[in-house]
Amino acid sequence: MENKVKLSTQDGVIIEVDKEVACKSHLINTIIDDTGSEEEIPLPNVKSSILKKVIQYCELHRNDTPPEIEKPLRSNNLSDCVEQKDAEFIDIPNLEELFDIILAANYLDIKSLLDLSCAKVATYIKGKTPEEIRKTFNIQNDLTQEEEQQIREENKWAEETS
Amino acid sequence: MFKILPRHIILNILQYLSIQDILRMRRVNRQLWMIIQAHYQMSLLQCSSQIDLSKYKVIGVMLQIVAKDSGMSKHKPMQNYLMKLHSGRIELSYYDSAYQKIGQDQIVYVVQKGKEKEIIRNLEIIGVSPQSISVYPNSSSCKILSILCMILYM
Repeated sequence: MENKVKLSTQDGVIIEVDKEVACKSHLINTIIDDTGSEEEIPLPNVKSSILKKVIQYCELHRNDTPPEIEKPLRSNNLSDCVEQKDAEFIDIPNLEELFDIILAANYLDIKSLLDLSCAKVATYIKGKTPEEIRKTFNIQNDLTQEEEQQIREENKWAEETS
Repeated sequence: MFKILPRHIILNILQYLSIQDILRMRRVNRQLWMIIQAHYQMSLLQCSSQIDLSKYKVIGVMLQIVAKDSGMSKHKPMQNYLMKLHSGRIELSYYDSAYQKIGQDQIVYVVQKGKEKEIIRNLEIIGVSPQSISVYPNSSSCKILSILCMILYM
């Protein structure tokens, strides 16, 4: 039992997890250092479905620390930039879930997961046209045709690099 | 969707993008661009050969260099070589505040003899904040006509 901790989520679910895995989160690590691992650790900002994904990531890196991701990304295929297991883990088509993972990683203070999920969002933007970006993130075009044309002219030299 | 993200997370996402990608986002949505502008600012500078960036915390630099290669080197064997290849070189060097070289980048381009060539170079400088950038040709037949420098800074 000493090697396990209980995490209580926003939706009232209790998840038991190895202390070693849970301590990949600096927040949980600090709480355990301060109060011990006997009591449930409340995580009011994280839903159980997201916490399970976060734990899955921590399990993946139980015995290692992932290397820094190169900035800027050299490809919008994340498999070219990170380990295959991380690329597969973060291959989440649902953007809402991806954003929830970003917020959870930020709250739980897991830098490598925060970086990985931010890099994943960047792949949806990298090399894409404004129209494709709007479609992906469900963003309304609030620019008039004239404004868009003007920006296109101003950006022309910078967007068409040789 | 981006509105729910705290500032440092937006910055984290933007760090994985090139300047071109960031600039392209200006055409996506006015509100989104305002969010980006809250983190990154842009300036356009006109310069000759050295760019003073000491006032900025630079995230990225993009240069538009207009250069001309006459193909007429004073050095005879070099001249033949250049006329054959119609090529020139421009070397960029960037320095820190103590004016020590922290990086360099060579641009090799093809230009027709006697004609001007517009070269746009996207320099991604990450993890260092150069205080100045020097641009100079390392071929005697190549002449820089103008440099336009766009910087993204915090």
